[in-house]
This record gives sequence, C-alpha cells and structure tokens, in this order.
Amino acid sequence: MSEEMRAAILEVFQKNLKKGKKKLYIKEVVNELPQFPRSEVKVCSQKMLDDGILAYWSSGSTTYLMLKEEFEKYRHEAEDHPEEGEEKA
Amino acid sequence: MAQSETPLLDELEKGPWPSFVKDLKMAGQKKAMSRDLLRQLELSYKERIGHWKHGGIVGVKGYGGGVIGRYSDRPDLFPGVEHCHTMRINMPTGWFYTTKALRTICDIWDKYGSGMTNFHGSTGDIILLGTTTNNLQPCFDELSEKGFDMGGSGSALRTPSACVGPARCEWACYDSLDAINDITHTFQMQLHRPMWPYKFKIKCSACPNDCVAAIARADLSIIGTWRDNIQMDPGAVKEYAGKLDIQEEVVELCPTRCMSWDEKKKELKINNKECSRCMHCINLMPKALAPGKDKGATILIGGKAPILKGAMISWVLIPFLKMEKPYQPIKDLALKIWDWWDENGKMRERVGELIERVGMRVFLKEMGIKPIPQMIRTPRANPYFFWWPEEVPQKPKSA
Amino acid sequence: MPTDIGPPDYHTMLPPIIARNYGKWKYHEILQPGVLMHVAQGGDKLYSVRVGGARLVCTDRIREYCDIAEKFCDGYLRFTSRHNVEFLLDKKDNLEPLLQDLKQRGYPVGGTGHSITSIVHTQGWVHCHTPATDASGPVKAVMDELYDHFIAMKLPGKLRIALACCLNMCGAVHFSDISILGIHRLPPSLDNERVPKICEVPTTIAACPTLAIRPDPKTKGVQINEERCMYCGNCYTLCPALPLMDPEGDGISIWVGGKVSNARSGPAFSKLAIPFIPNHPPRWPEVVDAVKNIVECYAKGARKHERMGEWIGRIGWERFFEVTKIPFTDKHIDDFTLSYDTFRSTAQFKYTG
Repeated sequence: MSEEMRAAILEVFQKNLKKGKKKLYIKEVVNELPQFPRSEVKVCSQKMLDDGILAYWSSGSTTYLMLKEEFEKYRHEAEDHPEEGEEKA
Repeated sequence: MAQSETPLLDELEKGPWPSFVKDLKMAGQKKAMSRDLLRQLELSYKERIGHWKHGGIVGVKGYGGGVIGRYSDRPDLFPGVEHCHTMRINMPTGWFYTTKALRTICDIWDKYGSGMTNFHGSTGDIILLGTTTNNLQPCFDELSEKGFDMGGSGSALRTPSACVGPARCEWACYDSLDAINDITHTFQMQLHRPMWPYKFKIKCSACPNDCVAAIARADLSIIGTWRDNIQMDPGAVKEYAGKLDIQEEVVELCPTRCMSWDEKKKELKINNKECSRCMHCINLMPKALAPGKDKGATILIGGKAPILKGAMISWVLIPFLKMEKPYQPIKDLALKIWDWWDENGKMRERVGELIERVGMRVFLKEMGIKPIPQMIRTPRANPYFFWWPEEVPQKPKSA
Repeated sequence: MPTDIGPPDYHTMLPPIIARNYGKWKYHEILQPGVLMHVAQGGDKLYSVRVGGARLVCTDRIREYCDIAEKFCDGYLRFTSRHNVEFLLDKKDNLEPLLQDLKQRGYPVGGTGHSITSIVHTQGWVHCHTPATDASGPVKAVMDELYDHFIAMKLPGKLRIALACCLNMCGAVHFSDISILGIHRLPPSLDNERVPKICEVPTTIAACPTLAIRPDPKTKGVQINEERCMYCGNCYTLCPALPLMDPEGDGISIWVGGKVSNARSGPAFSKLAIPFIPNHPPRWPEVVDAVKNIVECYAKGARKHERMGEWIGRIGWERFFEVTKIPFTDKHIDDFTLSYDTFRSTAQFKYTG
C-alpha cells in the first residue's frame, strides 16, 4: 500500500470537505484519482477504513465514506444526539 | 381496570390471524424498548404518519453494513426507542433451524435488544429489530461466537437467498442451498464491505416455479431448468387420470401445446423438443412427471424494484448453465458483471438500469456473451440502431 | 473476534430425515390444507405442517415454536420465504397430536395449494423511515378477513398477496396476484435551511427520476418543480430535509395480476387496480373490502388453475374493471417511461358497462 496513494485519498476527502462535501461515494474518490488503478484505490480505502482513518456512513440503502473524525461530528449534528458517548463505528 | 395506552392497536389483537400486537406486548413485559415501540406505533396509528429518522450508523467493527440505524423523532415521548437500530443476521441457507440455534439467538437478543424480530426480512435475513448503539458490537460479538454473522446492507452484495431446493423438493434442478451457501461464503468481502455503486442481489430458485422470486428482485437471478426430456412414469400418469381431467387441466393448459392425451389408452405423450419447461404439468402430477436428468439453471440479469428508473424484471442472459460445485462459471460471471458495473455505473444505478442506459449489446460484448434469440421476446421494431465501427468499412477521413 | 465467518452451515440445521434424503425426493402430496407429505425414493415419508405467523414476532413466540418443535419434531423446524413456520415430522403418528396442539394454541394451519398463504410484507410504521402506510396492521386486518382462504384450498389457483409500505418495495410485491402498496401523493416539503447543512445537493438532484429537482443558488439548497414530482420519495432517502410523509397525502394503492412462477404464463408485473385508499388505522376497512372484492370476483370468474393475471388476461382489463366495479381513472393510464407500450393498439376490445 503506497503512502502516496493514502495521502492522495486523504487529500480528496479534505479538499471536498473544504467545499462543504463531507460524504463521498467510493466512486467519487476513485474518479478524482485517475492516476491510480480503480481496484487499488478501493483496496487502499478499505485499509484506511480498517485503520479508522475513514468511516462508512449508510442511509441503509446506499453507503458513503467519510473522514472518521467528520463522521463522529456529523452524526451528532445530523441525528441531534449531541450528548451521546457513542461507539467506534 | 386501567385504561389501555394503546386503544387503536388493541383492535388488532382481535381476529383469528396471529397478532403482532400480542407479540409487541409480550416483549414489552420484559423490555422498555418494546413498550415504547408499541407506544410510538400507537401514535403513528393516531396521527397516520411514521416517527423514525434516517440512518447513519452502519455496522460493527470492520463492517460497512448489516445495521440499519433508526432514531425516534419523538424521544421526548418515547425515550426507550431513542435508538432503535436493526441488525441483519445472515440466516442459515434455506431457513432451516435447530431449536438450539433459535434459542441461542433469542437469548442473545433478549440480552442486548428489544426482543422483537422478523423471521424473516424481505431479503431473507433474520431481522433483530431494535437495539441501542452501544449494544451493537457486544451483540455481534456474542452472535459471532455462536457461529452467526451479519447480512448485507447499503451499496453491497445483499444476503443471497435460496428456495428450499433439494432439501425438500423433488423438482430441484440444482442444489440451490449449496450454491447460495457457497456463493455467500465466497463473497463475504462484497457482502460486508460496501464498495459498489449500489446494492446487488443474487437469488437462487431451483426450478421455474421460482419460490424465492429471483426473477422479480435479483440483479442476478439463477433459476433451475433442464435441457433433456421430462421424466415420465406412465403407470403414475394413469393413477392421476382418476383424480384429474388430464385433457382439460394439463394438456389444454400447456403453453406450447406440446402434449397429447389418449383418453382410451390413458397415455400421455410429450413432444419435448417444443416444451418450454413451464412446470405446469409437473406441478399437477408430481408423482408421474419430473424435470429431466440433464439439469442446470437459466441465468438472468437486471431484476429490481422501482427505485430509481422503474421496476425491472430480469432478462435471460444464459439459457442454460450447469450449476456444479465449486460454481466457478457463475462466480466468474458475477465478478465480471461487478467489475463492468462498478466502472460504468452511476451512483445508485442498479445493473439493469445501466444495461438499459448503455444498451444490452454493449453489456453482451463486455461479457463476451453471444446474442441469441432466447434473450428476447421479439426483435427490435424500430430502425434506429447502432453498428460497431469495425462492422462497417469506414469512410476515408478527410484531410 | 473473527469476522466474515458467513452464515452457519445449513447442514447442521437439517433434520436427519432430510439429511438422509437430500436430493432424493420422489414426489409430494398435499394431505390436507397445510399438510405436505414428501416421499423419498427410498420410501421415507416427511410430513410438513405449515403454520401462518405474523412476520413481526417476539423471542418468546419463537421459543414457543421451539417448544412445539421439541415436542413433536426432535427439535427441527424451518421458515418459508413467506414468513410461515413449518414443523417437520418423520413420524405420521405425531401428525394428529401436533395439529391438535397447534389448534389449542390458536395457530392457523394452511397456506398450501390453491389457497391464500401469508402476506409477504415490509416494516411500515413500526420501523421504516419512509413509509406511506403501516405494514403489519393492514396485513393482520386483511388476513383476518381472508382467514378461511388460508385454512382451505377452494380457490381456482394459488393467490399470493404482498404488501410494501412505499415504492422502495422491499420484497417482490410488484409480482403478486394482489399487491398492496403504500404511496405518497404530495411532493416533499422543502426546508432549505437544513438542505445545505445535512444533504449533498448534487446527490439529491440525481436522486430524482423525473428531473424535478434543481439547485437553488440563493440558499445553496434545492428547488422542486412540484408539477414534475411523482412522489417516489427517493430524494428523501438521500436528503432527510425533504420529508414527504403526510397523513392526508399518504395511503394505499392496489395492484393485481402479477406472478413470479413460469407455470403456464410467464412472470408478470402487477398492474394498477385502485390508485388510492386513505389510511384508516387500526383496521383499514376500505383496503380489506377492496382486497376481498377482488378475491371474490376472481374466485367466481377464474377457471381452474388460472392465476389472477391469467383470468384477467382471458376476460380483458375492461371486463375486469366491470366485474370488480372498480372505477377506471386517468391514474390507470401510464405516463412514466415506456407508457405507450401499455396503450391499446388494436380495434379488438369488449364493450362494458
């Protein structure tokens, strides 16, 4: 797993975050990184999910990826549960 | 007597059909969450509107699915269901259980959840209905220790399911249970770690009666069939002649009219070459007729419910494929479909919608599958159609 | 904790008689409504007793099923794809005592052959976030009314009913003889304060099948062209700030003539019979009456072995609306994609009314 790809994926999330876009489909991540093979971006993202750098967010039918720290913040905002000491998803 | 808190729902305890309200009340005697679930449902009955908010929580450690997040929009009134998440547990294939296994699930669910369940959800999973965020991981850990795992949700492979198949059906044209069990174990990554444009469903029915509705809801529908002659026991046909009007109920209802009945000799003849294997005659005379010996499955693609571009029924892709362990051809096909769909599909576009958008000819070419008349109901009637550049001598490019 | 272990091996769940005769069944008979006898090539006989159940059940209910299975079936049972429970017996001597026991407990036995089996259904108000109606409630009310068709086999063919509480249609309800489908009739109410905060605008726009949603540059939210909205609710699934549930707007539509089996005619979608019935909990009397009316018209008019859709195909839709006395409206004429394929393009039709 190249550190370069990791950094690039992280950058995609941070760049979108600045534009106010917190949730990304895996496809959007892949599309923003044409320099890397699609399957490798997926494998790398998977590793970053396992490592707790990224987190899944799901509507139940559709799944997105978020930065883990944004996921924690976002969930409290979106779900109006500011006080919950919630789990590590 | 104290007045009931749920006068509307109490009405649904009446009548002969089993009442879910009784079950909610039974669970409510043990669990505050189920008490509030019942009370919130009563409010929905009164106001004629739902009271649940969207998801967000997605799973247990490592997984991207299997949990559907639910929060009450009236936690002020119903604190017990402030969190009320669903866990999808992958059922044993064919929905067979020992009571020991069922009691194990019940005990774990009483410990961590509301005590309410669905046996089963629409996709086939065991649905454990209602637990808190904090209980998700410990509940999963304990289920896992007892040999159970989560089902699928989100943009992933959804829990594959099968009809009862050869376990209890003489019509099974392949081992739908083994196929689904094998496919499910092979594709655990795709099931638990959503990485696709949208959901993908695989369903296995072992004969054209399609008892798991594969054609209606699976992106990849695997429906058992055969390619030789219907097996017949002429003696048993004669036995049925006393119970059935074979001319009227069997022969005249055959869609291809490939049968004839000699009332005098009590003899049934089938022109198997013209049979389209609908199952009607076999369904009516299971002791006398059976699917042929050269069995396999028809593979269909694209079935789905309405969201987004309207409901679709699966289309024939491969008329006949042998379905034998280790099911490599079907697994290879699935991987190929996923790869193409993953690359070309828009977000939330099911594979059937993608095929409709770019054209079946593109899909077939990508899959390396030759077009044949079995794939269509009728050829095109409109004269707008594409040619591949290599099929037509190209005009010289002007300089 | 190990992950990705997958479902437990189903072989460990099979009763010995099934393990022994796996793939070796010869034929079956329906001995009486709800009782199947499967005969193996070697002569073993398996008796399955099918019991209707609510899909929404508590752990103590499942424990009761276990008690029954331990008493009569050596601790084995299964569930069907339509929420029924099946008790599996290898001894005929246990059949009568089991049936007696089930009767005492008040469980319905049936759902085989030319009957109405349990209604496949979704969650509804008890757990779904986009429902246009409840699921368990209308199902219970309809099954109470059609109970006699569960415990007997007196219809021309089998009749499958399904219910989905919105267009997401969890389960294959759109391929049933009778589908009961929750629908919304009002466009989402727009909260452009919240849209930019909690929704992805491009995703929300892409979610609309009729292209009714556009960006709203002023608020950074969205605009909705209400005339184009067909109330599918897909935008709400992606954007919680676009709720479209409404007590007056929401209700039930009824669709008929679908099937999944290939027997005789091929699989078919259910088609619209009744566009809207308001939600009248707790017992949805108009829905119950509507379903009962369709069942009765079918029972009277269909020939033996004809499913709902085959009966309608033979008599024609114009006759269907006549015999069921269901008013025909502009809602019955499709105006989504491919609609013209459903218009009549022949001078052949029947006069009605």
